[in-house]
Amino acid sequence: MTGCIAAIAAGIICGSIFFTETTVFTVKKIYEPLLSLLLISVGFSAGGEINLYNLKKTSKAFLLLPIITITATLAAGLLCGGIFGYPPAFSLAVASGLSFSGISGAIITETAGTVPGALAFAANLIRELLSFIFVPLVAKKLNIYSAISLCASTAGDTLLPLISKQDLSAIVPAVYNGIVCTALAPMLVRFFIGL
Amino acid sequence: MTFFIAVILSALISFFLKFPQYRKLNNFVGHISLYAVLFSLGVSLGADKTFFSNIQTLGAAAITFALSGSLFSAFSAWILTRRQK
Repeated sequence: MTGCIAAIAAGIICGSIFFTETTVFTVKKIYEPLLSLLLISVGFSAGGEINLYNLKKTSKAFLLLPIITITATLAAGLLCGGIFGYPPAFSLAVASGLSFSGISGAIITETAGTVPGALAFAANLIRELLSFIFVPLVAKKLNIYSAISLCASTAGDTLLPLISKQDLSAIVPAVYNGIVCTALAPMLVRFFIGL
Repeated sequence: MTFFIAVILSALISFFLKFPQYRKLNNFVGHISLYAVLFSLGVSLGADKTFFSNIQTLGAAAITFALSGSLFSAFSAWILTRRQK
């Protein structure tokens, strides 16, 4: 966990102070190939460790994880919207980004303007960053399903290596939760912002 | 979707054609690429001047949305799965 936070902090310092625009552009360009390499590595670890007997013993409760994740996130969004005085539909649209910052920011900016879009982008990006900090802690203190639910759509990609470090058998539920949340997030954002 | 396909394909290849001799190398690659990805994410954030100004103006709301969504999800999942193995 310390290494993850140190890597993000070092990146923020370099990006804001030391790196030129060209260097930042190059670093941004290699992000996707690096993430692909990381996920291939995770896939290789998982495939080597998975055995069908253990997979059969894995609780089927994970099939409900996306529903739990989405319902809880929407409830939290409604509550926050109430606290800050935002309309319920807008609050639900921000929350339904499910950590998918780029797409939720873009859809809300297009429909409601720059400031609401920036809020959606920031809220979902911060959720992704918080997941890097909380996943090891939540997996240890609660359980691995809680850690997967915390990550929402990023459970299947960016956060997958961290989840697999806590429990290799969690890869299947994490990828499943990630796929369902990633597929539903744009539809939910568009639906709620259109209300 | 490309990322999900990358994970599933590599898992299938490794499941059917076991490569125990490359486990150490794979762990090393995994660690290095994880830190490189996080560093790259940090650089993107650090270079984005609008992100910092957005955080200053919308910070409290954005952090509350993020934190409450994370905690609500984690606790709901825990309540519903705590009796499961």
